Amino acid sequence: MIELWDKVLLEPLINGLLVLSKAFGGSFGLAIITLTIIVNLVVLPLTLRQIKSTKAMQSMQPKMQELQKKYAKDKQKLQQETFKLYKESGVNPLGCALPLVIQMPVLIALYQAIMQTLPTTPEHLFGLSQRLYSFSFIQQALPPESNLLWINLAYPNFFLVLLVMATMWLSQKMSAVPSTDPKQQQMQSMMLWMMPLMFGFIFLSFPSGLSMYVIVGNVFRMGVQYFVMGWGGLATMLPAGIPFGSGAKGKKGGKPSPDKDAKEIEIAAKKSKVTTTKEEGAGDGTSRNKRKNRR
Amino acid sequence: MHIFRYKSLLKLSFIILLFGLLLAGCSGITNPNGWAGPVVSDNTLYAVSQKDGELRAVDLSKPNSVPDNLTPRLKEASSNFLGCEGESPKLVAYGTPVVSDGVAYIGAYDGMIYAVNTKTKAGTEAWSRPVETDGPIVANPVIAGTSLIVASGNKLFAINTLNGSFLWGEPFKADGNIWSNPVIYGDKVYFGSLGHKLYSVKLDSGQLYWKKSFDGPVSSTPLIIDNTIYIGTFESKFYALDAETGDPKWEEPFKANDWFWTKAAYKDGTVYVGSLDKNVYAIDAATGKAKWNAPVLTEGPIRAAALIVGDVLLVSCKTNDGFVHGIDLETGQEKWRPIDLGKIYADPWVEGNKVYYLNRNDDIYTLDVQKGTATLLLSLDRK
Repeated sequence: MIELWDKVLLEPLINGLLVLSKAFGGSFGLAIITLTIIVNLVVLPLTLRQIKSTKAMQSMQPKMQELQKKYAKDKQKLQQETFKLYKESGVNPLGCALPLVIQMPVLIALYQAIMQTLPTTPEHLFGLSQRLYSFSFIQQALPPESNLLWINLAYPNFFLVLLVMATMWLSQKMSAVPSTDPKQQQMQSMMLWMMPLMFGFIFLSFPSGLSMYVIVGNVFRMGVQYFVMGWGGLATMLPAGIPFGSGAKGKKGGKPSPDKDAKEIEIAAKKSKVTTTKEEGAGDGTSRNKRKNRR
Repeated sequence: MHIFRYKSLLKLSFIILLFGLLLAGCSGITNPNGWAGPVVSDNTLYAVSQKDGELRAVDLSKPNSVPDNLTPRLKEASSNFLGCEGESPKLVAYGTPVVSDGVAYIGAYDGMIYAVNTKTKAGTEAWSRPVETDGPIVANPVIAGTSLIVASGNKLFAINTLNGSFLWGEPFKADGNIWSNPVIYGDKVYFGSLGHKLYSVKLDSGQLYWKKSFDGPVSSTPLIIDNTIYIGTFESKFYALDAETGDPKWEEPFKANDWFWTKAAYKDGTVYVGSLDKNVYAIDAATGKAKWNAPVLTEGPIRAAALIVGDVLLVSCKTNDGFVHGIDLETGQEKWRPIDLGKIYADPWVEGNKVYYLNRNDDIYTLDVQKGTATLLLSLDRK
């Protein structure tokens, strides 16, 4: 299993990093940035699926809350109705998690590749030698130039750690699922701060090449997220006039569009060939009301 | 509700994953252990423990005695997050110490050069304080008269062995770190660098005499015989170069399947060298052509230096175990069955007709080359 992991994921990434580093005149920093973008492009279909699922789930929130209110005392019924709602809306609740779980091994392998391709000790370099393909241009790429601007990517860098924390916070804020439940809001906001702080704390002891990878990954994901669902949770922080919606076609005003969300659910429901129920109609109305309240 | 659960679960698994990676980071990815070989002087064996990071000395006439601990006072280790490197300082050395006139000189990975008085049992310092250099020291220090030549980071220093003062006005600066052991030949110092270069530097002034570029890093030790340098590189090529000019002596370099990271051995017009491709090659020193019908395949990559004792070529390879091979120089046939001595990265030491091996577990073996038998002499961690 370990051998399969090494041969299929780790070694191609290590050698890929060195080839890119050679292509960029030995700059390992540019190689990390490029490979992170390439890997993220490869797993883009999965990322898109995940973001779309998250978006659909966001759109369902008003209906979900209504169901929770309606069946607060009957948990079994609540489960049944929730499941029914998922089915009618054509949403798979695992749709958010599954793509992330599938792309996780690739991202972990990329992390390992970055760690191993920047050898700081002779043992490290000896280990790396066992993972390289025997093409001469790969040996020529050794050792990669670990400095990018003033930053030595083989050692921790406080500035990059700050960027890791900032991009992580922004990315999380952007994808946050709005909630009217104060408890959930409190926990969400706790996670919003806790995760970047924790990552920042941990990355203080990691080679900053790894921080670079996380930063580029976060920025890439934010870009994708913007084109799919706009500024998301960041919309409330933006001044009026900044497009909210998907890319340049998005609406202006820094606020989400409930009508559009509701419309998409309707389309999904039609696709799943389920007749629109009265509950859905009520849900749309509630959706608007909730959004108004949030404003 | 469901969304929140999924997100929380994901975040929780991410945190667990990160801690796993962090633990992996603490458990050896970043921590150097060193692979300095043992050295024998005045019937005393000196070695830096690869597990404990201590300089130990054993009187070879009393191998059952507890080794003396000569570890000097070390530079404080810089503390790091979660104690990864915040432990008590440890002597990490990759270069075999050099012992001269009762003083052991050790180039350490912390960038310090320690001079330890071996006449005392407590490891008192021969200089007023250790000499601090620019970067980690990986290569062996080497002595020429009262000059101690030490490579640190990408610089080569000459230090006065009497008081620890720097001898050249400026250290010699190479392209890339110097992990190749410097070799003194005549009035020049020869060494390779990870920046794909081989240098010839004047011993008295530290000025460049010539340099030669390759397509890969040079971390192996030059072997210099009859004004010819024999050296391998990470581009898996082995060269013979004129020591005076750096010009190639063979029509084309000898090619292996993986890096050369070890010092070759020479006898009677043949150069013997191991590669990380697990093979041992015999090369005609005059032409650069293979001499045996086929190379000798060992169990693992060969990093430690090859040695010739009598008519036997000794090669140790790194595997999960570590095997020492005794090979007939003429035929390339195994003289005896390979001996398992544990993981060996360090160069062995020959003293008289005995060969000393230090393995990763800090066990020191002596090898009877003719019989092909090894005896556990001692463990450095014996208290």
